[in-house]
Amino acid sequence: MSSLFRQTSFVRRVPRGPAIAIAMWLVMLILPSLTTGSVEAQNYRDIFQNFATVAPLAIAMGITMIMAEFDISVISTFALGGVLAVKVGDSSGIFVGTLAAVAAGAVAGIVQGSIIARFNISSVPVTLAGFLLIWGLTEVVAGGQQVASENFAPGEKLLSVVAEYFTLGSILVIAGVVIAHLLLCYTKLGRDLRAVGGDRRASKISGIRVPWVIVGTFAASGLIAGLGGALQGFSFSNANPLVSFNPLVSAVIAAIIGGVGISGATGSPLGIGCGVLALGTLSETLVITEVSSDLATVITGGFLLAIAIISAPDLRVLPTRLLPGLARRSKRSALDPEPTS
Amino acid sequence: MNSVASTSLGTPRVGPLRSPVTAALLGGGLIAAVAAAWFVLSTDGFATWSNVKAILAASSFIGIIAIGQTAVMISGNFFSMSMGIQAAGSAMFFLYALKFGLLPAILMTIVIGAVISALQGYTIGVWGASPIILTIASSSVLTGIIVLISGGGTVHPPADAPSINFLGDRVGGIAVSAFVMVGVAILAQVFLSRTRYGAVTYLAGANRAAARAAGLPVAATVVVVFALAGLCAAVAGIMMSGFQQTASLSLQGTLTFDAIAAVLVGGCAVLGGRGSAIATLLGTLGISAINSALVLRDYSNGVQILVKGGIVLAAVLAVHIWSTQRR
Repeated sequence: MSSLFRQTSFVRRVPRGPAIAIAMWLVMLILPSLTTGSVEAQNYRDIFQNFATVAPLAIAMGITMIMAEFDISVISTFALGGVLAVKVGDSSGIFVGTLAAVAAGAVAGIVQGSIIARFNISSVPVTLAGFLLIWGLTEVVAGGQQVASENFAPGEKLLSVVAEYFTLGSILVIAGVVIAHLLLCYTKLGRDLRAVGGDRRASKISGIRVPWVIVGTFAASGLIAGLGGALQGFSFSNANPLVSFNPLVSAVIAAIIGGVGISGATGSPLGIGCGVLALGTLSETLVITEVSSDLATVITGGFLLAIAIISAPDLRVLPTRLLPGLARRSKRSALDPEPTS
Repeated sequence: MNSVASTSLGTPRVGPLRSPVTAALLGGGLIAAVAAAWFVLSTDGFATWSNVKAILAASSFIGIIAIGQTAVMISGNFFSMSMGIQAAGSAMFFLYALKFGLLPAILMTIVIGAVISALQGYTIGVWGASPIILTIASSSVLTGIIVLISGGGTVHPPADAPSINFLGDRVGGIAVSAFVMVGVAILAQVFLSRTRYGAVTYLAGANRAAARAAGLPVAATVVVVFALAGLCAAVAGIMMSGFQQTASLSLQGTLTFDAIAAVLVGGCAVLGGRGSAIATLLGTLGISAINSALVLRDYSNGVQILVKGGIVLAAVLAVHIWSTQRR
């Protein structure tokens, strides 16, 4: 993963998840008072409902990024989870439907993780192939069309309002994020994950079973993505096999906002959750201030691009790097973390 | 560096064929390849001249983009996730710019496409941004800008615009775009194997630290290969608009992934340092041929995507095993 995950120094000083989420929240409170619109309880419910959709994807993607890998397939696993949950759920009940989605996600993760660990191969091409395979499978299972359910009861329950600001679905996802956080920050599992993300060779020498950590993390990633898809499918009583890329962009950027360095080893589920909230709050602010949806897309896209650029490890490097001879004579080498690391 | 592929964890340092699992996989892969060849060639209507022409036409847009992606992948920067949107945006801009005349429209489209991509290459090459994350985010902002400018609608050529029918024409029964694809592949191959920047592209992909230490212009090369990829996407966009006579964002379809799949099937090493434009051309044609057989046999879109994923996985594993065996 040499190009994808390099050592970084600048990015560690960027204010992380909670700080950015709070800043976005303040903007949402202040901006409407200067223009039009006002912040209602419904806006918070929208933010948390968006959280229920994007957070599982962001956590699924984030944990593989903490391990210095990258799971592109989460987006199609999410779609497969939705389609399976709705389809199986209709015939055999919600529990079996959820189980099918979770099992399919976990199997997809185990297969990809095993290939990555066994062959010592970059996760990017493997999960890209996995993305296509799972997407194709989703289309086949769904028969090439949207899968709808006649049973609206689970959706009504999941979208029911709780404590004015939340929906039941969002409460469940928040609980899931907190559990994931506790698991990753206070157990050996999390420590092993970060160790493997930080230095794979040293982890192996210190006795960590690296292949198991890789397979386990990809299994967890698939499982979470499948579960997220199931929750989404049940919430809206339908699932679309067509894979959309927008949630993937939000998931990756939310993970970066949430403290996941592009060199791996850092970041936590709560941080990633805050990243998702920050992006959701930005979108909702644009809705409240009645910015046209076209302009809103540009502003959100610009924000995502800015975060992607800020996460670049050598952001302070001058254009002189284009001419290596010049760069060597400049002070760049003293600022560049590479020679000292 | 946390390079997964460069460490020896999990895999003992022996020839992969000595491992029963990999040997079985390779054997299975060979049998599958023979079966696939039989499956494709025995398809009714596959081995006909008209189907060959259809395969060439269908693969041309993907092929042109894939050739640009090949340079990016050889340089060790994975791939650009914004190629589909850049091709669609280029098609839309080209039709709009036709009011300035045909040649200015072509030049403007190509220059703008190359510059947009070169800017992404700059942040990746100079600042070390992650290529996948940056290009995903770029595609998001490009989509927003294109929707804002175009209103999200379809662009038609101006009423008094010069004719662009020749772009969608056929010569000797073969689509002009197929000739363009072959021409772009040859030019890209000349760039990669006959120029200084081409040599640095391979070196940067094989060992970036060493290339940098040797004082080679690694960052500038990354900018150049991304510019090349943007240029290819722009050419693909121009050809698509000539073929369709209209352009909208929906033109991007699954171009990005189809092109990446073609590069991987063409045997390009995903971590860089190895690959060729001609091999990518063959990879593109291979995928299109198999897809054509599936379409002729009336398989659904889902099965087509599934098979494409299987081919990509097989190609990636085969290239990986082959390269570790040589090491």
